[in-house]
Amino acid sequence: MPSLNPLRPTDEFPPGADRLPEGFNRREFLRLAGASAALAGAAGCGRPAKTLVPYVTQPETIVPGLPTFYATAIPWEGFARGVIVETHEGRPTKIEGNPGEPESLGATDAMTQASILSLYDPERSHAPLCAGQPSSWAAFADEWIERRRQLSAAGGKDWALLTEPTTSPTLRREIIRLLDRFPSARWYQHTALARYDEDGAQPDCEPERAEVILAVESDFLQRHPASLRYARAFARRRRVAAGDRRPNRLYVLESTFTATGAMADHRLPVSPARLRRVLGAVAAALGGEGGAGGAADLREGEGAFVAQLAGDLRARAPDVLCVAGAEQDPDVRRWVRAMNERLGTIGRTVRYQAPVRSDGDPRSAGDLAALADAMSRGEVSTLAILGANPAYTAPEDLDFARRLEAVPWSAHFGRHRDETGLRCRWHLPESHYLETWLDLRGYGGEAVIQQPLIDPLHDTRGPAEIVRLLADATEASGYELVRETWRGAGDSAGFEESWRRWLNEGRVRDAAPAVASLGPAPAAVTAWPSWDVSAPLAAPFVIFRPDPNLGDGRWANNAWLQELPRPFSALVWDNAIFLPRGLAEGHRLAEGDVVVLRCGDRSVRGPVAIARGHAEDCILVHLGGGRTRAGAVGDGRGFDAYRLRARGGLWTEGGATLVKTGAVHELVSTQRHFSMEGRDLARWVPAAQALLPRKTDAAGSLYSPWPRTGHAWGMSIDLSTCIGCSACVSACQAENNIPVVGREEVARGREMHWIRVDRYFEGDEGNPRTIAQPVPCMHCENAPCELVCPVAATVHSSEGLNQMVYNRCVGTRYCSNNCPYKVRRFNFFDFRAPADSPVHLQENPNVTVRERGVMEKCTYCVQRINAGRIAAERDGRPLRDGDIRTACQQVCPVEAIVFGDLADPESAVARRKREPGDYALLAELNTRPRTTYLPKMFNSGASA
Amino acid sequence: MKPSLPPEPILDPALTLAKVSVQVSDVPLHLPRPRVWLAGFAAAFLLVCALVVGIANLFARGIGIWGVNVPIAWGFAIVNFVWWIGIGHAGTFISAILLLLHQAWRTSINRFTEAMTLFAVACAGLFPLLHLGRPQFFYWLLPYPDTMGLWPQFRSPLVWDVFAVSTYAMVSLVFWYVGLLPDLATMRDRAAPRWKRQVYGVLALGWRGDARHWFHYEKLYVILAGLATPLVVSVHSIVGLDFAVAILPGWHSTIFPPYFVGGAIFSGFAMVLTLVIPLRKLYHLESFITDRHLDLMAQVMLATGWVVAYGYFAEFFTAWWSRDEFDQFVLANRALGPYAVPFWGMLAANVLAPQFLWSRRIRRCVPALFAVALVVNVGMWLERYVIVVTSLHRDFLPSSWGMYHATFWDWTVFLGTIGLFLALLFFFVRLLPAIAMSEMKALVTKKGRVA
Amino acid sequence: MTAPPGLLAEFVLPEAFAAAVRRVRAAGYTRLEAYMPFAVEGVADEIMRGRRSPMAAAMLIGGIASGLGAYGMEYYAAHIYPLNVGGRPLDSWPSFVPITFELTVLGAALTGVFALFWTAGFPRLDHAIFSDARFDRASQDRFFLCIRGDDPLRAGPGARDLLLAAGAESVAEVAL
Repeated sequence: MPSLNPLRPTDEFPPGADRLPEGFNRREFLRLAGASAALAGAAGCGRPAKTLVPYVTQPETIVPGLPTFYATAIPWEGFARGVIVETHEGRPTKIEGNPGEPESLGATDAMTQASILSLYDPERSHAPLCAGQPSSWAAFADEWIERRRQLSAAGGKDWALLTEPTTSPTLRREIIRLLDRFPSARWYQHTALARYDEDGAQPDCEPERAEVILAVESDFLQRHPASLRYARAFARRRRVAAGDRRPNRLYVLESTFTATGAMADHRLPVSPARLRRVLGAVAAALGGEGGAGGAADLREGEGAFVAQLAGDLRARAPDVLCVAGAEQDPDVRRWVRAMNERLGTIGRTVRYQAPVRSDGDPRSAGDLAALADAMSRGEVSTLAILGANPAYTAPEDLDFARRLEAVPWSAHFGRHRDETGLRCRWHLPESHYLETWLDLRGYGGEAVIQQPLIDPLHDTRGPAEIVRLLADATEASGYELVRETWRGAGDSAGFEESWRRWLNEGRVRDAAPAVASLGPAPAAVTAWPSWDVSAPLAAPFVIFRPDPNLGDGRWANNAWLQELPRPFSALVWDNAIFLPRGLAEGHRLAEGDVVVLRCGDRSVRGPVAIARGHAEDCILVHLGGGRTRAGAVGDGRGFDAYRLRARGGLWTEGGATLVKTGAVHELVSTQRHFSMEGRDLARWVPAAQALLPRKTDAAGSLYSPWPRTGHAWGMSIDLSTCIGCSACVSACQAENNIPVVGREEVARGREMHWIRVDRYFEGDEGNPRTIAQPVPCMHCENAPCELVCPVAATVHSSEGLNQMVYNRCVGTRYCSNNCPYKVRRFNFFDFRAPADSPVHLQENPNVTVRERGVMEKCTYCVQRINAGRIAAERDGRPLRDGDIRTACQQVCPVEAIVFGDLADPESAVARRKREPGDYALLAELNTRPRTTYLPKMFNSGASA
Repeated sequence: MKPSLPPEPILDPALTLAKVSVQVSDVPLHLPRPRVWLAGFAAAFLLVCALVVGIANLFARGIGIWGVNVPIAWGFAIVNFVWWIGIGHAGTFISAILLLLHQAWRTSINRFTEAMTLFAVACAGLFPLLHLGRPQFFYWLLPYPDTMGLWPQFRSPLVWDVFAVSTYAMVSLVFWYVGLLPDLATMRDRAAPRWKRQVYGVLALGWRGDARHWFHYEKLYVILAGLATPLVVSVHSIVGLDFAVAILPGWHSTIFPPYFVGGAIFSGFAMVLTLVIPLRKLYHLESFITDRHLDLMAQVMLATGWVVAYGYFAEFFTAWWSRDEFDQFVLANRALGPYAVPFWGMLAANVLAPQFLWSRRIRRCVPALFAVALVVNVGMWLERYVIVVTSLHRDFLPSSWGMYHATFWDWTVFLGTIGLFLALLFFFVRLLPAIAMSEMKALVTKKGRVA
Repeated sequence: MTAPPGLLAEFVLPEAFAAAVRRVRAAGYTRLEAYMPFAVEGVADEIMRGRRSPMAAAMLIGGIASGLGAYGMEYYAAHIYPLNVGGRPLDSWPSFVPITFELTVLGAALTGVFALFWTAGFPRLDHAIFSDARFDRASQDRFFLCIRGDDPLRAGPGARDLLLAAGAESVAEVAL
């Protein structure tokens, strides 16, 4: 695998390997010895020198072989998401959500799961580089002291600092402190992605309270800083539980499919040209004066949608909710805010609070465009770039890369020497978030102390340390900086005590004042936006969206995320120009045809993919592809959509042209067929019938069933709530040491994921009904795979697990042929990483790494079952429901997956399976699966 | 046993005991046209080298060099296995079943076809080993008491295969060798150089043509034939069960065992014709293998061809009759899906082509017959390809559908085994009497008596 | 006193040979041996005096034994290490039938071959009969009848004449 390059010899003893943490003792020694002996580049592993506070277990009780858990936070576009990280003898191996932290509630997303792999990325920067030559922090400090002297003479004139917008109190404090020191220095902020504040306010909502939700181009279920919280709340209104349901109704207006749109009861694909018309009509139908046009000149699809939406809103107000995508133009977001005002939802289902992230900070001199202008005016002689990668993510028309090269003195702090680092005089390695002391705030405003899990593997620094270094030219420890920030908060007397609790719980509960809701907004803000519906953008439109897996491209060198199937297309290792069929046929384009997509004087070259559910004339491109300096994994995957972006139209462009080049590029997907062919696989049920007893599909058997002894493990998957986010796939990969096989092997149909999310579409391709169906091993009681194995390498456990005995497998692959669910995966080659690759450090020591030529598949996380069993025996208590949770269950933001003991009638899974809709996939084959499904309930009102 | 004599003499009336010994044993003893033999063998040997390279690369890099994947986890290896096993069925069918049916004409070809059987089974046997993910552990399929108390999983058709194929190979070998004993004695007694006499002598085990030998020998031979008969039927039935036992639509069908047996004999006779026609030309054995032999084999092909055709029909009929949506889809997909070409090719080759054999003129026209035989060989390979690939590539869950494309290495190993098969046949012709002399003599004298 | 050498008579035509065998036996000779390139009808039975061949019995026993062994093995394997395989019962007898059948056939066939070797005394590469120059053709196109030296009537006169009279090409003494 490209990602698994063996380390260069120089990496064998990275700086810091020889440094022993304070409080060095036998355990430290064992760990260090073990780690460094085990793998190159790993010698730095270790609990950081500062006193960490483990989540559940005191460090003193660490027993080799028993994992320890620590609470910390991962920055999601700068916002905190609380996580709990599992470490084995000092090396982080797995990330889970922090149930106690409001933005996580115990769940995570695919990127968070995969971020553990980036920690061990062999291609991370290991030490400072000066003009591309290996250097040191000391050398940088020397040069900086000199430069700083000159700058301070002029109060920091012509000195620009570029960071990503942050929620970190400490980092912000350090930046302000720097600006105070250098009044003339300027602080710019850049994110290639959306800003979540508008008109000085940040909308936050409570979907659970809303009976009717209108989402305008908003993927609040998956692509939002609070998506985990939102999805959890939304799901509570979608599932049948305890034989009852209280479904809300979701209306979605969007140009391209999103996880939210896929959950909609009523979805209307609208192009940017039609959007304002439809919104205007909605406002008009509600008696609002919003926008011209009113119900006039709506197409009949739109008319019906507007009519029913308006009716529902009027009937259910104020228990309704309107949300707008953060990518939308201000006027659209104002329309939504005005609508919320009219419907009286403010304070009930939605509240506008002070922004948590620093985008709008008064001390900030503006965004990247402002910086670019300053640079072009020659007002930037010294530029420090912290974290961001503008040379790659800047809109094309800023011509930032060239301007950056023209800056006399520039320094880049980042995890990789990326496109930006390449163009700066200095590249200084930044620590991975699991190596960093910092603090972050969640979207809701609550803070989390970000404590490191491990000493930096390489000679790296955290952002706060770096800003302090720039300000004072002296090294400071992030630990002290963070404590400095928080010592102020709370009563300083009990600081140590509360500090300890904050770390322990992974949230700063008391001290941090939750962000206050703002008072009533000025009328200007809440007035209906005035827009001109008559002059739409010219079709076709290019819709820019962050890559579902790679975000703005920062995860490009993460092999797990590259190989994680993208929603709706199952595309891997690539991005594409997604067209609706009509548009493609209009240009005589077929899947895989390489086209030149042009907007004005900007153009990109990429393969075409036919997409379902797009509004007419809408071309979707994902940002984050086509990296040139990401590393061996990420370089050259797909095309770079930023090159099509202009500062004027960051998210939508009109008047695009498509030119067929004649070249063809094979797009690789893990799923190639998206129709159920009329088969009864993933079921839908209208809310009205959701409680009707299912038609039983129990088949008889000539054989008397095997006697059950003890536990009977089983799983239930609720299609009503599954949003198809693929977090389970990523979590399974992290938990079970599942290898990455690469683009070519996936093209040959050899992906290794143990759980997959099948996606089916039904009906009109322009606006189909769609359903996501996670498919792990069904653990059939009459398992067809077991019957045909000639060497009994796959057999049944007394607790009903369909076990795969790797050591016994000879690889006839007959079991895979005979598995009707095709969940078995085969090691066609030796997919393991090279023995000396640091990625082995991530591997779960409790899961076998499979060799070439053996079959493998979902085990229901048998290692977790046994761990739970052992823990229960150790404590001399019976296993409790919930003691054992599979990786896919634990990560799921919508609690769609429930696992447990069917022998216990009161277990959550047993109760789930008593729900009326419970059904087995392909039950007619009488395989008796232990994994069953609940149908997807939809509440369109039509059939209700 | 009294062979019921067909109206037309099946042998050249001019044959005598002496002629039989001389003409047949002269081929191995002093090879006529050595250049032709050498050229043929060299060609076959090249393919064997390719086979060695293909296998070396397979073991070095893993099964991934082939086209198999999920869902199509079986590909060329299994296709070729079934194809070779099928070919291997003509030999024992001819020597055993036709013996019991008193078909005197079998005498001219049984020795050769038995050899063909052995070599075909040898080629077939390679594939189940090669296609394992971890071939080094193939012996875990054999029943032996190991320290873990582990045994093969006897419910698996693959284990049945191990026993069926190895039994078939061993019984065929025994049958063949026992039949060879008197002829090895002839070779011993006709060979000039001492060392040849010694080699053949050892192989003949000291056969003297003693009446006591013949007494037990004939009993054994008939009973062996009696045993081999159900064996022939069972082996390909079990191969058919490899598929029928699975729950996969397109495999899970009770018609498979008989339909596979029919196909096996069909392809076997096609291969016999493909080999015998050049052979008899090359070594002037027309007096032993007459046009009438070819005619009769063609008739067997025609008959078994219809068995196969019925199999195809039955598959579609049951799918339609069962109203099973999965079965119906698989069959429709075969005919209209991405693998329609092999499917229609199979029908053309296995159902259409044999119909020419209704015409006596074509059965008697050697080149035409040869052509039909070749076409059927290809057709029967296609049949196995269609069964294996099209059933797997689109089964229950559309989300898991996939495509199969054979790789360069798939072809290398396949053609390699063809080379191995031919090389072994060349050795056989070069070293052993290709026609059962002793049985032939019995036939000659009987002919003499009636004529 | 040592027994006289046996007499080996060579015949050309199978029919004549068969007739000669009957005639010599009719004359009361008991210790006869016949050699032929193929089984001339009647000759073997004449020589064996209607004795039955043990072949069938041996093969039947061998087959049954190995068949029982096969099923026993499968049953034992299923129970000694009881595994839940696809929810099927431990002794899934229908699945055990194919192997039982195959091994029955194999056992019978192998027994048969060994029985042949036993009865025919194979392998025996050397034999006095081979010393006779004419005997090379016994495997090709000539038929030989031998009156052994230890035949009670051999000592008496007329053995050679009898053979010649029966149509022998040539008669010579052989150390049998």
